[in-house]
Amino acid sequence: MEDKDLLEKLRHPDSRNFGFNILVRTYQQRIYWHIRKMVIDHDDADDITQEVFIKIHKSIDAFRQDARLYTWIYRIATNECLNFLRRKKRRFFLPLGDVEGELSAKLTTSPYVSGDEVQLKLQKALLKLPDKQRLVFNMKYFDELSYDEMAEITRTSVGALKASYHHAVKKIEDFLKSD
Amino acid sequence: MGKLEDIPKKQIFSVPEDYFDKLPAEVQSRIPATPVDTPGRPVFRYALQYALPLIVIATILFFYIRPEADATSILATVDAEDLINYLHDSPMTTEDILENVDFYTGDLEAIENEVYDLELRDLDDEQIDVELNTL
Repeated sequence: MEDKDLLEKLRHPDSRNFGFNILVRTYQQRIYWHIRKMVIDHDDADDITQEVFIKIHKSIDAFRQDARLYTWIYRIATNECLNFLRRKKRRFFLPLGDVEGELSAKLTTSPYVSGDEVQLKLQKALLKLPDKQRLVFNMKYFDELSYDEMAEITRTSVGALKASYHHAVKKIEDFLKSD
Repeated sequence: MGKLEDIPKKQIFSVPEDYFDKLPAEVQSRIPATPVDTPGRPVFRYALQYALPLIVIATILFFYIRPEADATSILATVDAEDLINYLHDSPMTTEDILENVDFYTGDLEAIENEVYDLELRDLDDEQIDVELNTL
């Protein structure tokens, strides 16, 4: 279904629930995996994903069609992720390393993580990056978004995103070499 | 292994079974029910939206901005004959009335002119002399 048709359904009271159900089914996987890669834990990712869709439901009337629906949803998910990580650091008064340690431990203890040693090593290297840089890396490397799409989502310039990604790759490779 | 391209891209995270089948219902259950508009509801809403402020404004205007009716305008609505009868029956003496009533200068002049003009106009010289002599 085209975004235009979906939005029409979402804005009409009679078809709102139906339209929303389609929206969740269409975007749930992409949004969940985007969040999951940032917060690592399934339960946290599940909570945030649900929050994202509830926010979308609340503010769908405010969505202006100057952006694509997908990028708008992706942006909400990104903000929710960053807010979650920020709250986590603030709530426990943890230094950056401790949150990284907590997320890193989840990579080995969570029942829903099953990578080989190299994959886990890559994930641990990613956790060493600042949250925003990790986000940029995930969008480019795993989600394979174009820089233009990423710029639309993050409202950052393409040049800044390219620099951030290449910097992240270098840091990860340095980590992989040193370990 | 120091290069990123040497690492195969693989999804290492997984979800509980049927997670994505259940998620839409899970999300839907957390969405507050949309209020259904009954046919009478918009009328009630408009009544509250438009009529209520109008009633409030009208009340304010009635009690606070209404021009005060003064004694002159109230008396103007009373029939002259009724007024004379009232004053006649009233225990007030002429002195009391003169003391209490605040005559306008214009009214006083009019009364004076009416009295003198009438008397002077209606009487000829002889009659005036007679009247003056009887004083």
